Amino acid sequence: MEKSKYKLTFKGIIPIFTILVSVIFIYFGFTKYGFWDPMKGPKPGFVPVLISFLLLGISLLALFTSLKEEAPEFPKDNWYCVLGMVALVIGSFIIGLIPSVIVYLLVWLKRFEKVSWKSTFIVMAIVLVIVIGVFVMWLGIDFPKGIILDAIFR
Amino acid sequence: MDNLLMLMQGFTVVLTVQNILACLFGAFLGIIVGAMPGIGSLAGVALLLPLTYKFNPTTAIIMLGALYYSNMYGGSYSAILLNIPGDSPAIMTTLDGYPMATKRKRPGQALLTANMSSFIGGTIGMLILTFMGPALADIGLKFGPAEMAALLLVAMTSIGWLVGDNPVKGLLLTCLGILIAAMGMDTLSGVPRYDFGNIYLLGGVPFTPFVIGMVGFAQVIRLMGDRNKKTESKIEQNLTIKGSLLTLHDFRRLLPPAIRSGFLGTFVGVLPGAGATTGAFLGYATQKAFKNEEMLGTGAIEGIASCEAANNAAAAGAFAPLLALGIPGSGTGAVLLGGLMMWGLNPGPLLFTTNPEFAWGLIASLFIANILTLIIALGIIPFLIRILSVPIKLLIPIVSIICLVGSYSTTYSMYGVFVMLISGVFGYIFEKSGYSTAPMLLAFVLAPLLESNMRKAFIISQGSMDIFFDKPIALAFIIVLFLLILFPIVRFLLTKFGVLKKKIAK
Repeated sequence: MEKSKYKLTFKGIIPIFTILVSVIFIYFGFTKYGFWDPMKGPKPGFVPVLISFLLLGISLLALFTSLKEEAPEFPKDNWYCVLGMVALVIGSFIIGLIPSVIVYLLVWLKRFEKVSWKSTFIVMAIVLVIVIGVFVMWLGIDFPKGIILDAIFR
Repeated sequence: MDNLLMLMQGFTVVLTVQNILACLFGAFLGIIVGAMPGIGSLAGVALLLPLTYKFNPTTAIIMLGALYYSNMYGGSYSAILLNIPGDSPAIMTTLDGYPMATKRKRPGQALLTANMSSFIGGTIGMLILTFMGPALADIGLKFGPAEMAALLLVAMTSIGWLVGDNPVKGLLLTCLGILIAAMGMDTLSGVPRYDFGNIYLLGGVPFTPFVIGMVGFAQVIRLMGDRNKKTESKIEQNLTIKGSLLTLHDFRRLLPPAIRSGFLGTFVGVLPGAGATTGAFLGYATQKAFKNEEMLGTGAIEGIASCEAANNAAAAGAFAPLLALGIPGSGTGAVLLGGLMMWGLNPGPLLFTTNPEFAWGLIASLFIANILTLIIALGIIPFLIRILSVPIKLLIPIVSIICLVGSYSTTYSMYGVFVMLISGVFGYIFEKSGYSTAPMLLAFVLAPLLESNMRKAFIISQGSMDIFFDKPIALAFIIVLFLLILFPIVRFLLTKFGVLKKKIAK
């Protein structure tokens, strides 16, 4: 059997996503925030509803044009940095942001990228100058210390 | 004459130690970020936004302006030495820059041609900006809410049309950007909307983490695919300042194309959505019509001069609509505008009268940035090969952590980090699927202005659409808007019914 030349690819998922967004914005715009007041004119839902209708139309058009497009590839390797950042965020809640950054750099550069100790320490020095020197000391940002340090110093 | 006097006053604002240092820092970082393939001015400006919180608005925008402007210089380095453009405006520079560096064995002269042309083009752009900015603001003062709303719609639509290969995709993300900006407090009535019961969303989607994610972190995810690529230069000789100097004959060759492209690039930069990339393309295309000592594409000085002067002039020209009308011409312009708004400044027709020291200070700072960047560009020549050879796999964790701490520092909570992560993932998916995110950033920044003008227009007209058709300026903008929206639809229908030939992807 001949394979259909029309297929829903990831490019088609984006218009479907925006169709859903536009429907949600139209629904809440009309029902919750209001569109038009005969005395006062436009209500908070006015512009979002107008734009949502436009988005709905454009999304449908984009959906049709996407049917014949080739699906983009999302290599697995590219997502490792997202996982790394998620791990870093979780680490920040437990041991604090700055220690997590150090652990992240060690694991990322030595285990994952397998770079030399020299390069690892150079990168770590640059990052720590930025994080501690610029953000903590100069901008005065108080980064999360994590539940362990919070528990000790409470 | 008044403009020149105001410009002189602008120099008195800029010439403080803090402002000069900020300008120097921005120019230095801009060159480095521009030189490294893959980061680009948009991500560079976005990543630097949190660092400017310590400064007053004038100093902060001077630093960001210098960074944006000097980025145009840096973009050409990797184009000339590695045949990899540092950012999109430098694509045309590779055509003659790389052959001049490798085949003609004049890498230093190629770099200096790019630097000198950038300086000349930028200076022309800034001189025109000095006169055109206030003139545009005077025209803008005549705009009511209807004209402003129509102009904003044209600006938002045109960038979606010009960036990327498919205007439908640009328009789609433009609308999405407006809707994301609508989340949070309604600025006119103070009513919370589209917060979906989430306490964080009451304040809306924060600008800085959103931009850092959409351009900075999305770029990191993209770079993961290139992290094992080695960027090795084929340049055999050592780069020195002395060995890079231009002869008088070289200078005579670069001057006419640089001046011509300087004028052309400035006017391209003023157009919404066109920007430095279009300027460089047009500058190079125009140069083909003129006499060149060597054929373009074989390492001709004229080729490098035409596109480099045009892209820097366009970068300067883009400040005219940004300051005078509050309308940025590109994604980077949108981030600069967002930064201005964050510091409580409202670019637009009134800026030159309500905040003259700021507006003229910024214009004056561009002149200073131009000189400082040229000096830094000369000084950096001996170190360029080393800077360009920094492995991408070492850059990835550095940029990732800057994204994380930058996002945290703007919200003082992990909310900013979550926004950055989510928008980064979406930004990557959008770009990989052929949806350019620049229109969304522009729409996100301009949406509050659009909404307030649109609602005011409808209040004045008591709900009648006639307000957009009765006034000639508004009507002209609406006609342009309809053309921009209808063109892709008509093209789609014509292609569908076989009137137009379909493009076959190779």
